Amino acid sequence: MKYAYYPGCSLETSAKEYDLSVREVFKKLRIEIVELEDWSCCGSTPGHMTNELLSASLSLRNSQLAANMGLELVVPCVACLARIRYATETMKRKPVFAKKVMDVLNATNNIEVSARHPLDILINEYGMEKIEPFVQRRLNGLKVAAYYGCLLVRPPEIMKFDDPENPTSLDDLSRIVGAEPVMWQSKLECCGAILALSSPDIQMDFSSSILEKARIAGADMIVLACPLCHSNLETTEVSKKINMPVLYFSQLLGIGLGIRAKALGLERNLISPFEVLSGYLGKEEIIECLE
Amino acid sequence: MFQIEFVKEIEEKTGINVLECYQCGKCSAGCPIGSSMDIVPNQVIRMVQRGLKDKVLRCKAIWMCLSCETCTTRCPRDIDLAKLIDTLREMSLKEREPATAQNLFERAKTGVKETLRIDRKENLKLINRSFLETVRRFGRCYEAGLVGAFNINSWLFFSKIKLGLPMFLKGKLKILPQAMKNPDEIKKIFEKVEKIEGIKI
Repeated sequence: MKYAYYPGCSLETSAKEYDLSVREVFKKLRIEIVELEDWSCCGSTPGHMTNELLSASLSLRNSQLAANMGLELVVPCVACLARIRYATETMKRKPVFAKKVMDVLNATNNIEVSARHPLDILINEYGMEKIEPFVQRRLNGLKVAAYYGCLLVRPPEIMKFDDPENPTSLDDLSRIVGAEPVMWQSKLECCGAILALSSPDIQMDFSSSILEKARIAGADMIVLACPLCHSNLETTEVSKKINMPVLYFSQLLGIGLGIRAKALGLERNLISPFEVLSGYLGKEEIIECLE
Repeated sequence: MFQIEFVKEIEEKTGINVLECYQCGKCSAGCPIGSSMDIVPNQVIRMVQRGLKDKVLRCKAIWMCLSCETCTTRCPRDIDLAKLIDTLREMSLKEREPATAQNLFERAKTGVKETLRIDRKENLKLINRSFLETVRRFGRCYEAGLVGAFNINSWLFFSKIKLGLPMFLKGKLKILPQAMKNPDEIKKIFEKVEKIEGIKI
């Protein structure tokens, strides 16, 4: 298995631990990934709120790079993934629009590259039974609230992953490493997304509600798959002095696969996970992170 | 009576036939931010059905929508309402209310309360514009530059400042923009889109 890897802007900066942990997990499972040469911003939310052609052109430039490599894309950031999927879909439906995009990108053919989320590849392509033998640490007794947010599963016609009203992929993944997913209300509630900047008070209300529901359900930590959700939940916790660790699914899986905490970027999470994970990580491992 | 021109314009641009909406209200029921909107999602599409183009392109609701895609997912008529709202945003920027620097001096004249009022609509438009400006220049989003530009232009000088230090200490805040080998390629994309669409981003 070999894929072109499109990290996107936030995985280079505020979501670096997501980037590190996905790479480590894929390396451990022997799935080869090659970073796109000179990738660029997909435009994300501001792109699609401003102009459809801009959004499609910015995101599909990266699909074009993958097409040149002859590889399918793996895209950890759900915003980047959603933009690529939407653009690909619109190009198929509207030939006039497709021509405009091809003109902007100097493309001779229609750009149709498969793009998938790493969680999708792990569960549906690689297979959970094949991950099982690699598990070295069981996180027995660890209660996790699997948080899906918005774009990972919505809208189903575009994201084509899991279920948009009752998803289970993150819950199933947690079980592979021995953790116990809790039943809770806010699996699919919006964290506030881009309002973090324009209407932070509303965003903090959204995020606080999610954190509170996780706490009420008895979760020790939250596990998720979106860099913006991660940032919003953690920054809300810093403001409100809450202490529930928020891990990327790749970090949780990585711990289970026996990868060292530092390699998974666990010291970068704003809310320290070491107290909750102290029963599962080695002492020298934690010390290495805290240095 | 349905004003058919706007309905047709929307269908041509998006493929969405707004007349299929029978106002069940499921979109508004599931909208997480509905309570902060001036008109709720089913009213937005109702205005489009009624041809109230000017009114709907100037509403606050289309700028409160945070694209959670819940409405699109749940619509029993398979109407992509999130896409419709995106299109209304695009049209609003092009035809009615382009994103300009907030006229804070005008606001300041009316008093302290008005100056300090959070204008959510203008803030979002400003965030979008600042973000895209960094992408145009560097090819990748420059987070520190984006927040800086937003803080200055919105006069919310200290927004997010408290988070700056903890994020910096964890290596999450990059002082300098990310380097791309050929950022000019992205500049060209912006220029071409502006030319084809007849807009200024």
